[in-house]
Parts: sequence; C-alpha cells; structure tokens
Amino acid sequence: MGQVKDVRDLESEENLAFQERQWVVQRVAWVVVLALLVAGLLGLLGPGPLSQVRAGDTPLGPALEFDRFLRRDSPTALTVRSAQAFPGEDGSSEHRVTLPREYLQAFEVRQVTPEPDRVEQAPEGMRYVFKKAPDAPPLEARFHLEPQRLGRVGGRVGLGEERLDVWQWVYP
Amino acid sequence: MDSVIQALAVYGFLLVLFRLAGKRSLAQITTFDFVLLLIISESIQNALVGQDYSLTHAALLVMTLVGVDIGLSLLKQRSPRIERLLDDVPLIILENGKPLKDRMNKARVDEEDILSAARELQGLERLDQIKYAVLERSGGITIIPKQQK
Repeated sequence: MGQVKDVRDLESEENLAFQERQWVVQRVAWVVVLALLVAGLLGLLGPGPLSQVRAGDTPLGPALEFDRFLRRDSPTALTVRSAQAFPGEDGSSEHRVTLPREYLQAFEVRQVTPEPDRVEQAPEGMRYVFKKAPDAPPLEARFHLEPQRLGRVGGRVGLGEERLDVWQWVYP
Repeated sequence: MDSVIQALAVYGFLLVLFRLAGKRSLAQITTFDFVLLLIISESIQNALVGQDYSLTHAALLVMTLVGVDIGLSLLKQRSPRIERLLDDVPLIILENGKPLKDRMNKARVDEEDILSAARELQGLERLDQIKYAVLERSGGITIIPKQQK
C-alpha cells in the first residue's frame, strides 16, 4: 500500500500522519490477535491438544494426567492412575493418593470419582485412600478441581511411595 | 478489590481491541454487526460478574466503568493527543466526486458504502453529486453534497 495523499480543504480534525501510524499498528495487532487465536486453538491459553500432560514415565507405573494451562474458576480434572496398592489397617489393600498442601491452596476439590473411602491428614497435605478389592483393576481416580489462584501452581503429588511433580498455569 | 480490577481490565481490553479493530469494525453497518455486539456484551458480562451476583459487586463494576469513562473524557478534553489516541480521527474518503481509493482501501470502505450513506443522509444518486465523504470517528460515513447550481 502506498502513501496516501493529503487533502486540505474541509475543516476537520483529519490527521493523516496519525492515521498512517494507526493503520500500521492495527495491521500488526491483527497478526498478534491471529497468533493468540491459534494459541487458543492449540491449547496454550486453556485446555486443548498441547495442554494435555502426563506425568509418570512407564505405562504401568503410577501416572497423572492433567491440563497444563487452566483458567481461574473453570472446572478441570486431575486423573490419577496407579496399580500400586498397600496393605491397609484391616488387612485389605488400598491405594493412597496425597495432594500436597500448596496444591490444595491453589485448587478447590469439587468432587473425587470414585469417592475415596477416607480422607486423612498427612504431613505433606491430604491423603485420599481408596480401598482395593481383590482382582480389581488398577485405580483410576478423577479429582474434579476448580483453580482459585492465578499463575504457576503445583506441587508433588504422592501416589503410594512415588512422588510425581505437577505444575500448571492458571490464566485469569 | 477484585471487582474494580476486573472492571478496569475489561474496560482496557475492550478499548484496545476495538481501537485496533479499526473504525469500520462493528459500526452497526448490518444487522449481523448488531447481533455480534450483543454476543460480545453477553460474553464479557459473564467474565465480569463471575460467580458474584451481589449488589455491591455490580455497583462497584458499574461505578468503575463509568468512573474510568469520566476520567478519560477529562483527559481527552485536556490533551488532543490522548483524544486522537482513544477516539481516532476522521478521514476524508471522497473529494469532489472522486473516491480517494488508497484511503478507502486502507480504511476498508468501498464506493457502495459511500453511495449508501449518500442515499440515506442526503437522498443523492451518484458519487459526482458529493463534495466530500468523511469516514467519522464512529465508523459512520457523513456526506457533504455539492452546491446545486
């Protein structure tokens, strides 16, 4: 696009220099907005394909699945998979998932499915205990959460003896 | 505190976005533009109100939005530069019946838009009956007809 020519006849607040600069800024901004839209589609501004993360290396070992990028007050889920069970107090075996204190300060736990058999205080935070029936498949529990804090949140989630690092980013 | 910050953030975001979109965007040209404005207001309303439906929250939001508007109008009155920045400037897009194509292209206006404004505002039939067409700050087009001989 070429330089526009100036017309000075009509009494108006026309300002061509400003107008030209503005057109340039606007076109740059359109590209930025487009880039943000693409980032949103890809899941860099909230849940989406690039946002889904898995912590835990082996397919059989304990694993966590969650969204890296979240938005405040928007529901999200932390999926816990574990085949590792421990002997319980009454002789039965149980799965133990511990959410660290700093994680619980950043999220409100809305619901846990399946419901844990008991929730108890642990040194690092809260321990959710799920009873394991003999021959039951590995545990797959979903923690339905609502982010309350902005920015980087996370902690070390305990799955039995294992500790898995979780970090997530919460947008306003 | 959150209410005020939320309202400030939304005001700033909308101001910047609509200024960057340009004069002609959502200037209520078509029915669809109007519908789009309604949808935008609805989306923003949800983000603003969130889960707090209290009267205090609503009052704080409205007071912040109106307050910022008053504050900016005072600033605009004092500084033409800020006024330009916030409110844009008018642009002549047709002179003595001749469309200024380079300007029109950049401002995303075509001859049909000018003719439509000329018919609507002045009852004119052709471009050569127009002395000036100005794309105003609001995104609307105003028409100054040639003097009848």
